[in-house]
Amino acid sequence: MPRATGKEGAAGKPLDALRNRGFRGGKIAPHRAMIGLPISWSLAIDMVVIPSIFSVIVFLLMDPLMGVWRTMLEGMQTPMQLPGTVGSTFYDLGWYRVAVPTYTAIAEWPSGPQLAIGWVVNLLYLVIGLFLKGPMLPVGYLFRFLAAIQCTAQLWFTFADPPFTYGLPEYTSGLLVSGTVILMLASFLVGFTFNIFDFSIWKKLLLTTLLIGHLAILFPLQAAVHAYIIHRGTLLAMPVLYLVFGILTDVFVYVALYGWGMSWRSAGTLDPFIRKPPVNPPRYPAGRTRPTPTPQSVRAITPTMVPIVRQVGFRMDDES
Amino acid sequence: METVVFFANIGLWTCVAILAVYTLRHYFFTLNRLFGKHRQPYVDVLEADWPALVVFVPCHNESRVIRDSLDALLTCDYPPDRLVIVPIDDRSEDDTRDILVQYANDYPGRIQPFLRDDGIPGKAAALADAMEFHQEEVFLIFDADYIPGTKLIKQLVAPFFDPEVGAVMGRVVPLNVSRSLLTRLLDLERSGGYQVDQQARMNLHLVPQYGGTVGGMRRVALEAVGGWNLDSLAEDTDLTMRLVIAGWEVVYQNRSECYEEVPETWESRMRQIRRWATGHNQVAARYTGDLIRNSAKLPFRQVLDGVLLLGVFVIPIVLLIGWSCAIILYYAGYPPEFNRFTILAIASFNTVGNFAAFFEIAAANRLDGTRERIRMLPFMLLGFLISAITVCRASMSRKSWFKGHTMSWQKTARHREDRVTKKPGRNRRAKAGTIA
Repeated sequence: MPRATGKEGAAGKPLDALRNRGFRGGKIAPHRAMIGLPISWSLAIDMVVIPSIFSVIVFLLMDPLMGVWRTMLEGMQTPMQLPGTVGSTFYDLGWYRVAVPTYTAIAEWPSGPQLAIGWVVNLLYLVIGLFLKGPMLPVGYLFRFLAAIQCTAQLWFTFADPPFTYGLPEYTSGLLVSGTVILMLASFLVGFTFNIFDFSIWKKLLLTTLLIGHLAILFPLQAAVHAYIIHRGTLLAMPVLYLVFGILTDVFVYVALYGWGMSWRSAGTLDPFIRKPPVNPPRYPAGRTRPTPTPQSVRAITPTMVPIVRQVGFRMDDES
Repeated sequence: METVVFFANIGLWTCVAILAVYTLRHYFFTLNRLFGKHRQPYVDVLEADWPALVVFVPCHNESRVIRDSLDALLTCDYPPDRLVIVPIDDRSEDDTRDILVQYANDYPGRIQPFLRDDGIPGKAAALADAMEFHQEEVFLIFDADYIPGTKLIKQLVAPFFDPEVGAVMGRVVPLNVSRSLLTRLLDLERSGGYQVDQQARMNLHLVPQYGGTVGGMRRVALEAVGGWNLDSLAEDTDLTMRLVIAGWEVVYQNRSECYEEVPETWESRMRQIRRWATGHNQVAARYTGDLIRNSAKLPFRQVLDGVLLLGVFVIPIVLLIGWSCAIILYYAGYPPEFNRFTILAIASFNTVGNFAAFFEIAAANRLDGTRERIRMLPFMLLGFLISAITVCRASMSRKSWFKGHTMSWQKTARHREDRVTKKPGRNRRAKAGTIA
């Protein structure tokens, strides 16, 4: 006779319910090696529909958003003492034309003394990088990496002739245009990497909103800071800012938010610490003698991460 | 200048294509592990006529850790009359040999040390010598800092009831996670490597990697592929590839967890990566051609995965070349203007491409139930940076690609508390009193 699998239709359902039932009606969580996520149609909503809605909202809010960015750039222009005005670069997003704000301030080709200061700064990066050891070693390598990138800029501006291919206004607008593209893509990245997990819909919406909101504020601030540094420090500062502190930094903003989001409780399959007892736990048959608890049974009903408060007598052989 | 730009363009797009393949691989493995069917065919084998087994524990200056390992092996639930533990001491200069002799006296017959004073140094050579004195069909190998659980030995032996299985690998879990930032990052990384990478390869019938420890081998399979390769720095990868090429199955058991001590200092970690990278590249140089030439006998997916696996330690060099080309093109003014497609391509690749490894690690830790540790994710950048630089250095050495180097013991520094001076017997009493 074939063994019952618990999947034989209505008659087999009680077996399914019993399969993971533990002592006193608790749930036996599967071992982490066995755990996985079910595939369902709701994944399509999580991965496609929600991100699409967010993307459309970002698209529709693009004009007001550019207005906010313009206000932010204008607000920061005076304190940063940047000359010129806040102009616009037009960028086609599909059939839609976006007026991305940008500073009109320019950056100079580095002079001899500025190049010399640049070499000193570069040397400083290298020395710091070489002296940081022990637990700070990776930070030291980060400095060495910066020194290597900055060195390419020093060499270029020492031997090349002006003008440089990129001016400050084009650089700033390029950064912000990339920002608009990332804002459109961000919700899909969340959909593909976060929404597929067993979080509640509110948490999925919250992380997407947090990410888009954070980036929407970050991009103009990042562009303003870059513009300030490049304007003050000449074009010499542009390569390291573009290559290291540009999109790469934005990616790490997402990594940080994603790491935080992934640490939230899900109350689902992947959250082993939540073992909700059944609403109507099965009762122990009246009249039957209850078994004496053993250390094993006490541990079996004690949820993980909760200290065992009941001490069970345990006599060791070598104490006798 | 135009020629430089032309070659930089070719270089950049080649690197991007290679990186895109590895990015897709990361995503594919992670999605398979999350939603795919788990293939763990031997995990239910609990009772059987267990074969005679020998467990080798290669040691070289392991006095700080070897007691823990032997104690754990002695308490495993494998039938004692069918299990022999063989710690191999290869020219230790500390108290390792005395400890092994003491254990041999305390557990006569169960622990049979193999003491080695000459011959080629290194783990593979030591194992090859020790195996000549033991004729058991199946053997397991544990490094001296590994602490197996009670049921682990049976779990690792179970797959060998399948005659097609040549080697078995268990999961490695760090035990010194809270020691430093590095150990926490390594815990995240190990989780990604085993919980996702190895299990996905097992699910998809690809090439799960035998890691040289927390694993075992069938003697006949080892002999069929030519025994231990004595001049290989990564004898584990070397053996995996030879077994796969010869048609043996390598099995990964995600349920079989064993605890290890991960490096606690960055310097120690860099030495470990350098050794892995050099050894792995040696294997890549030796077997990539063989793997492709045998593609008619092997499933295409295995050949593809094997080639990608062998190329893992070349990726940092690809990254370096890619960065160099990108910098050249940047100064040369390419792209001359920000058009829509370029921005979309750069932004997409930077975000989605750079994020693949983080996704894999976060998913693995979520599966492990260690959700709060995932907040450390941004710090992985430090680990990636150190790994990339170290691998680049190792890959540029002659040792990585050519034969003819001198073998020596390549060891990771142990940081476990010094227990050598502890009074005899204290450890055993402490274990008996543990209710865990």
